[in-house]
Amino acid sequence: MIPSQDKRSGSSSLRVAYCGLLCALALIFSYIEVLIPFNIGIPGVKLGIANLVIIVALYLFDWRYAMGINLVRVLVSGLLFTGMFSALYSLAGALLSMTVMVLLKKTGLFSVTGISIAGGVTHNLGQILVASALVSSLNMFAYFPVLIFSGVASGAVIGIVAFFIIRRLSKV
Amino acid sequence: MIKKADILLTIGLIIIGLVMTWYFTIGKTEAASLKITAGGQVYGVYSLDENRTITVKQDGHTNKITISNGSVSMAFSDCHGQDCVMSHAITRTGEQIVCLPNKVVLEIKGGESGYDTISR
Repeated sequence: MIPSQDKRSGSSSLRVAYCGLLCALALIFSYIEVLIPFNIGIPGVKLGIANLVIIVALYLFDWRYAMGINLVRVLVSGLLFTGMFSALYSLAGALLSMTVMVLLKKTGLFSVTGISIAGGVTHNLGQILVASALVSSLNMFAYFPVLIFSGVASGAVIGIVAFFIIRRLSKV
Repeated sequence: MIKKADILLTIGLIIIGLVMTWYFTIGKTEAASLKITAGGQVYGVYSLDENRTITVKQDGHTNKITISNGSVSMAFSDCHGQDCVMSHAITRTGEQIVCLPNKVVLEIKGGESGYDTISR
């Protein structure tokens, strides 16, 4: 297990500074994700690199910090890049995936990769729930298998990357 | 880096994905329209998507057909046998309800391309 950093560095101002840094990083990742034409014609299939930052924050700090960074990221990237309407989708996905990731981390059974996979899939689940609530039809769930597979794949990639980042950062 | 629970989670998610794919693929082959034939002639073709009641009147006979949630049943018939009213509701392509005395045949026809119901 990776040691949590907040036991060593008691200074909360240091943590706040780190959080600001991570917020900025998450925003940049959101921006990069908008730029990359990683689009195979199905809405919702994406890499989710911003989730990398969230997972790193979840492991290095507290879940409350990770949640805060996530909310700031969703709202600001909604304002800046994608528009408030799709920020609504992101918000549902972010809240659901955040909750699931925190709960799964508490069980202690899963590694970073598993938590990242669960986060990726539940992010898609949250979005599709909002989408089907908006059109008030469960037909949207026909998309869901594709989103499960893409969520597992991108979640695994992000999780493995996050593992190496956390290992290096916790030495700093 | 990867624990046993991770692998189980991944396998579980993939299984859920496959099951849902299978479920929606089965759903795709389900019928799209109801063809009503009365007295040997096509009376009309109706979509199964909307719930409705169709009254068929020909040669002094009356049949009432209900479409609800994609299944078709004969709600009323003034024939003697009442076999058609007793028969099960039909949902799938090729299934039929026949009212012989009134010469009314209900048959479910597959959509032109079932794929569109998903991709639409």
